[in-house]
Amino acid sequence: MLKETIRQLVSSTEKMSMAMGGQLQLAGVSAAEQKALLGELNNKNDKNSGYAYMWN
Amino acid sequence: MNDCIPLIGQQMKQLAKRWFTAEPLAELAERFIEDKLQEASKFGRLTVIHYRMFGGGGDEVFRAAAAVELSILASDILDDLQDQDAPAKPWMQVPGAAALHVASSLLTLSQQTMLDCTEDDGMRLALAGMMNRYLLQAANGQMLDIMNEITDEQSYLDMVRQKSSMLLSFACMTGVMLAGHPWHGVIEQYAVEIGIAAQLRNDIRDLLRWDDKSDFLQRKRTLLTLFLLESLGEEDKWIHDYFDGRLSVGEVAGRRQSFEEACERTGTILYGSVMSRMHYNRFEELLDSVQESGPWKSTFLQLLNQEIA
Repeated sequence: MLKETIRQLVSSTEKMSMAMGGQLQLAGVSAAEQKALLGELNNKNDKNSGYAYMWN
Repeated sequence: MNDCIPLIGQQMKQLAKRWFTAEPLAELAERFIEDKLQEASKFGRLTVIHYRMFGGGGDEVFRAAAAVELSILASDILDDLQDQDAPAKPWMQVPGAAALHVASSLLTLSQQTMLDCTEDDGMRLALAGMMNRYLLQAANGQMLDIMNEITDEQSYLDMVRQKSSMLLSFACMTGVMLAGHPWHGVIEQYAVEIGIAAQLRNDIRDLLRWDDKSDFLQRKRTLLTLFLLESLGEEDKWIHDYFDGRLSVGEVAGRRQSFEEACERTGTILYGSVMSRMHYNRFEELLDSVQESGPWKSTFLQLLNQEIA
């Protein structure tokens, strides 16, 4: 379901904006997936937001 | 924690000098170790952090960290020889037979070094057993990666769990056990989560690059290439055709921009980022559940967030 949700978000600017604002109901997406999705959407412009490469 | 980097490097070089008496072996090993030290001994520092976290206070940890780093160096050399995609590395600039021999010698040196970390026979046996179990699991994962026969998301994550995460578990658990603590299940679990999170970040990088290490150009099956292939529209048919071998590298070489657009448009990059973050979040939850991590948490997170130059 996470995959389908992501496909819907990238194909709709409106849905993406709502998701970024925390206003979109993400049915079928687990709490862990939702937390990660919102974390990524809110840090989309921060290229150094994650944990680094551990190996090549 | 950065102050232990020279100590680990010094140990690695001393060990090679002590055990490699054949001049060409010693010379190549030193050159390869010098190159490895440019990566700031991340795995070795994980060993040191976990040793301190679990109450260890001696200097023997630097030898253990050197054993870990020597294993990782051997794995790196073998990986590059298998993939043939790192021409700048010093081990790719010497005859393959020599590089292969140095790698196998470094693996044996790492095992001898681990045995020499302690005079306690019980601990020595436990460390050696733990080391071999993790390296054997990593070997299984590496083989699955080489064969590139991944068919679905679960089999990919299982492969990463073995190939990448077991090396991280090995680094962390060496510190835990050298400090006198038995094998720790939560530490292994969180090392697995770090491994998956980091591998998925690497997969994003390797999906978007356009050289010998490009996962797309190499037709490599990863979580992201699988997602991409199942999300493509009619206008992206060429991507399918290339992946299935109906187009050659030469025929797609000029389509980098179209490929990047397809990755963005299908949500492939976002999917990889979200999956990576989810595993990282799980790691943080597990880390919080380990009482001993308290004073070391920020140092640990800082190490994970340092990018290799």
